[in-house]
Amino acid sequence: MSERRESNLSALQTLKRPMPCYYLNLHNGHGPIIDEDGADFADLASARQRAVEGIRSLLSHEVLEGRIDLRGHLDIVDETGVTVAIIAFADTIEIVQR
Amino acid sequence: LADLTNGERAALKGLAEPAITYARGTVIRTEGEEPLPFLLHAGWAAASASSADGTRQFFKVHLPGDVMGAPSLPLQRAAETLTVLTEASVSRMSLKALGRLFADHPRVGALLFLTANEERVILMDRLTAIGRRAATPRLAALLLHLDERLTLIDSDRPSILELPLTQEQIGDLIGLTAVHVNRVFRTLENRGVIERQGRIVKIASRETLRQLAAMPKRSIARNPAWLPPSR
Repeated sequence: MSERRESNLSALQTLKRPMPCYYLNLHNGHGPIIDEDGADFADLASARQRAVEGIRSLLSHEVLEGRIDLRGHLDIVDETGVTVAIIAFADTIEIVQR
Repeated sequence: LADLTNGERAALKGLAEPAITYARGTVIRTEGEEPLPFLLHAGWAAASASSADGTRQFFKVHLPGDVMGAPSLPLQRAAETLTVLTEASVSRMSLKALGRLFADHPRVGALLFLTANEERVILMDRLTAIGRRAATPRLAALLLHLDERLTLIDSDRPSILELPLTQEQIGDLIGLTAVHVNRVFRTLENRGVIERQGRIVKIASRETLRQLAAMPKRSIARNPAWLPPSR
């Protein structure tokens, strides 16, 4: 816990009050990929925003390779190990087709 | 880059003011302050800059022996914030002594010029990786680069990296999000290229990592003949 706080440098500089830590665990056909670092966020909404950006980044690279797999999801887990949000890949983008 | 005479070594040592040991996470110098250079004797550090949206972008990892903050020397105010990622021993460098060094030891001055250009090559390769390579080669190239740099310091070291960087910081260095970095680490593990336990990364095959990185191997030209003679 203290190790993570110390290494989160931007947080260290601006920390006025303890920020909640969330872990963004990925499930997308490679087996669960556990976020061992976690990161401090202002609130769950900020963690959700970061998660959506992360998913979109993954998908953008898939688009470049010509194949996009929307079956994955990302779990946001709090410091007590409770999953507080599940974000489906498919919910992070809008697909417009003819 | 070159073998130094005793006089040149002494002049280089004379640049460094007494070393100070900093606890992990300490900010040594913030952007906007006086653009003094620092010498990193031991430990890891990083250079970063704040973005318009209030977040911080990390762009350079400093390893023992590095001069830090040199890019800001031409500027009135420092462009980068320097932070130690581990406990680290750091000296401020004397600009007066640096000026004397250029006058008294032109060969060392030329070597510093070469070092700055070597850094440009590293940035060229990084930009190429971010602009033209997929996520896996980017991370492979970064791990290879850190491994090679550490091997320059200690040629007998095993291929094990103890990375004091968060995935977000690694992502900054290679233009990926933390979530993506996490998945690419898993890809490298699944391919048997690395083994990972927390922040310790064991490189199982440097050769495979090199192939994955798909970057040219940069070999340093030691003791180039055109350098001015030692004084």
